[in-house]
Order: sequence, then structure tokens, then C-alpha cells
Amino acid sequence: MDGHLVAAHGSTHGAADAHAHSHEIEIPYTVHARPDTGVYNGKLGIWLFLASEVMLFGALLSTLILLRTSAPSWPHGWQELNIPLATLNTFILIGSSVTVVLAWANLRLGNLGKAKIFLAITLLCGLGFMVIKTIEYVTKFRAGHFPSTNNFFATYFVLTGLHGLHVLGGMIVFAYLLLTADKWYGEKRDQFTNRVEVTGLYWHFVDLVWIFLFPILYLL
Amino acid sequence: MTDHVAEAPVHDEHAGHGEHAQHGGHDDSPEAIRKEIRKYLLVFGALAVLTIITVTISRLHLPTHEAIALALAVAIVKGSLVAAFFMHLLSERKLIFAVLGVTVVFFALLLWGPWHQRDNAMESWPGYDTNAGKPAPAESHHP
Repeated sequence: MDGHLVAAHGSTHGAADAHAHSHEIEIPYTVHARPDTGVYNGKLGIWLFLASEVMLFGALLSTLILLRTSAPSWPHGWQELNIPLATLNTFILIGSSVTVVLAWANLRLGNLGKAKIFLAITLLCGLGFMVIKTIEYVTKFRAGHFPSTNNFFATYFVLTGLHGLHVLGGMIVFAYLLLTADKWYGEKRDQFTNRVEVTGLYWHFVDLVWIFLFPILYLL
Repeated sequence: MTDHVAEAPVHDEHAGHGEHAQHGGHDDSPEAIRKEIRKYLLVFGALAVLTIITVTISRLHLPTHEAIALALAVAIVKGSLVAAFFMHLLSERKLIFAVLGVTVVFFALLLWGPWHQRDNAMESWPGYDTNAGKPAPAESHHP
């Protein structure tokens, strides 16, 4: 029924009939591509969302450039922050990006069981990232470093905090996908597969942001 | 990239799929998917190696400008790998590239502004350093 609005029948069968069948309305183009855009709606939607996310992080990076270039002194990240933990987090996020695409690939192969395992690993990777980030934050707080300490820590906490919220958001979606996988895959296999793909696109973006934040904040 | 969907009747879930179903223009034949999986694992290996290279470069404590250039160059390569393979940009539709193109232009403008002003930033933004309470060690100062 993709791309087909049941409610459209209302125009021929009357408003009352349309109302009676309103519960049958389906979101169009959740599986197949729209002929005019060439992609299914979910994919276009997530890319537009990611475009807005680029601007959000771009504004903060722009602020970082402004603050850093105008400061008479600016500590190196490797002097103030924990490089081994951040490196471990980098490997975790990269690994989770692979498990997402492996989950998607297995859904396309019809291996729901394997796909669920990879989704679960992705969720665990997200959890691991957040635990390590929490350890980092707690260590900094105990050392008396807060966002109000100086501009270096202000930008560090804001950028990594916003990124962490994105990781948390992704984890919530992965948990939902995992919990509803059996139901959705059984009823609407293609739509569920596409949901995993667009969630994966979001997750890869989160990974991509970290790929840039890691050297900018920790290594320079 | 083939796009079966544009020709397919929109109300028929499987029309136009041929022997194997497709998702978003991706070939869903088992052989093609297994090939993709091998590709994903290779990209993961490349990203891991590049991460090690990034950390190693940082330990050299190069001058600031060289360090920034090298670190960002490696990050761009890593980001390109993620975008090209994990996000499937290599086989994406023109509309997605149009969205990304506009985004890149405005993102570049956003960063260009403060970067362009870097030489006179201290004069342009009086009071910028009022919150910089903790001075960095002398050897870590920018020239």
C-alpha cells in the first residue's frame, strides 16, 4: 500500500466513509521511492534533519574557532583531557557504526536474529560510550573543572555534552527498534528494514561528528 | 545505480523488483549483500588504522598549524569513508547530494567568518577572555 493513501478514497465514497476508514491512513512512500525525489520519504527526511544538525554543530564549532583564535592562551587538549579514554570511545563508536550496517545487511538477507544481535551490540556500544564519557566528566568535576572554569572547558563540555545527548537519542531509538523488531519485521519487513537504515544514517552522523570532535578537542 | 522504484506502481510492494528485492536502490541479492559486508569490515579496519595514526600524530607535538592541518586531513579522510560507505553516499540520489551541497556551503560560511577574523579577533571581540580563568602552561601557548 506504499504511496497509497486510503483516505484518498474518501473523495469518491464521501466524507463519512473516509472518516470511518481514517484509521487506515498510511504514511506514503515509507518503502518505495517517490518518483519525483528518487528516495523514500524517511531517507529524505533524515538527510534534511542531518543537514540541520550539521548547522547546529557548525555554529558551535564556529564559536570554538572564535574563542580559540582570540584567546591569548589556550591549553592543548592532550594536556587537560584523557586521550586513552577518548581513543577507546572513538573505537567504540566506529565499531558501532559497523554493527548498524551489519544489522541492516542481515535484515535484507532475512536474518532477523543476527540483525537483532547487531542492534543489541550497537546499543551496548552506545552505553559503553556514555559510561566512559560519564567517567571523564566525573573526573573533571572532581578536579574542579566545570563549564564555568574557562572557555576551553566551556567548549569541551558543550560540544561533548551535545554529542552525548545525540548518542543517548540514538540509543533510545535502537532500544525501540530492538523491542519492536519481531512485530515490525513480521508485519512490515521492508518498512522496518528502512527504519533501521535511516536510524543507521543518524548514528553514522553521530560517529562522524565524533571523528572531528576527537582531534579538535583532545589532540590539538 | 539502478532505481527500480520510479518505474514501479507505487501501490505494489514488490512490483518491478525482479529476482531480488531492493532497498533504497541497493541490490538485495545475497551475493551483493555479502560483498557489502566485506566492504564494511574493510572500512572499519581503515578507520581503526586512521584513528591510531591520528593519535600518533598528536604525540609528535607538532607546531599548531601543522598539527591542525594533519589532524583535520586525517579526520576528513575518516569522515569521507563513513559518509561514502556506511552512509552509502557513493550510490545515493542526486537530491541527497543537492541537500548536502547547500549544507556544505552554509557550513563553510559559518566557519569562514571567525577564521577570516582570526588575526584581529582580539580587537574585534574585546572582553573575549574574561572567563579564561585558568592559564595554560607556558609551553602550550600559541605563538
